[in-house]
Amino acid sequence: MAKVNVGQDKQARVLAGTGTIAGTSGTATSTTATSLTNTGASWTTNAWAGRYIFAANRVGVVVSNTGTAATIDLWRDPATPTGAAGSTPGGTSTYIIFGEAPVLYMALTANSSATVATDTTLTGEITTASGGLIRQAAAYAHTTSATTYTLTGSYTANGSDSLPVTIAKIGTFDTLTGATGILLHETLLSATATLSASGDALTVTQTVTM
Amino acid sequence: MPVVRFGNPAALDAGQPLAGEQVTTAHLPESYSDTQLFNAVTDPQGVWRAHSDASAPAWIESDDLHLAQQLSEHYACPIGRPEES
Repeated sequence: MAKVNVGQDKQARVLAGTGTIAGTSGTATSTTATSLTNTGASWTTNAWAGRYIFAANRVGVVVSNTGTAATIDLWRDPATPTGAAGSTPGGTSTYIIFGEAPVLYMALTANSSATVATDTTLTGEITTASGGLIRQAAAYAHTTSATTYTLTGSYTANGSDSLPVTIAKIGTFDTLTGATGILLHETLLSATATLSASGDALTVTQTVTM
Repeated sequence: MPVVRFGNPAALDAGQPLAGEQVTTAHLPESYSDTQLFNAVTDPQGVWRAHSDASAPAWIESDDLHLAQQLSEHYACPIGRPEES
């Protein structure tokens, strides 16, 4: 496991910064399934990346932002935070951007190059539309009194995936949207795994030391 | 998010044993199919093996009764933690 430099910063913000780092709030002027715009805002570009955004009983993670618009991964129902997207908040909803989103999404790649602390993306991340091997939420588990926790990804290849593929490395991120977000860890698998046909399954567990 | 708790008689912390029986709690994604949920726990690279040196949990409890039943049958362990005596 290699925790990359931007991941170290992210972890510190999640653990301690969430309650102390300023956020913002206001009233939207428009929304879509993956964005919220406030034409009256003057945000610093990407100042809110990796933050939670709350609007009309929905929660998103800001992937990036311009001066007036935030791109999010999806609007979640807080009762099912790793489920399907919820309805889009109304176009003039009040919103709050506050708190650092946790890192619980796992992505796969066939790239087998060594991990580098200065990496910020997972080279060659599989992002095939509708594929079964794209980035997804991982299962989170912790044992009482342990100094570690685990993230477990369970994947099943489907007809949209480009097969065969040999998975060599995984990365963990704070957003669901592939090829975006803040990378916390990237880890070469102890043994590569080749998926040859639709229905082939792969389970990967990342142990994280706190 | 389905939650599963396991009585863990031989808990591991990054591969090192933890003393005493512990409880391992797993929060599983709503987006997972039934097969993915089962695999995430029971696969040799899954949750249970990462957290325990025991072949099976001492007990299981979950808010997903179907998953609890599947895991109980797979591990041959009871559903529900024992009463404190």
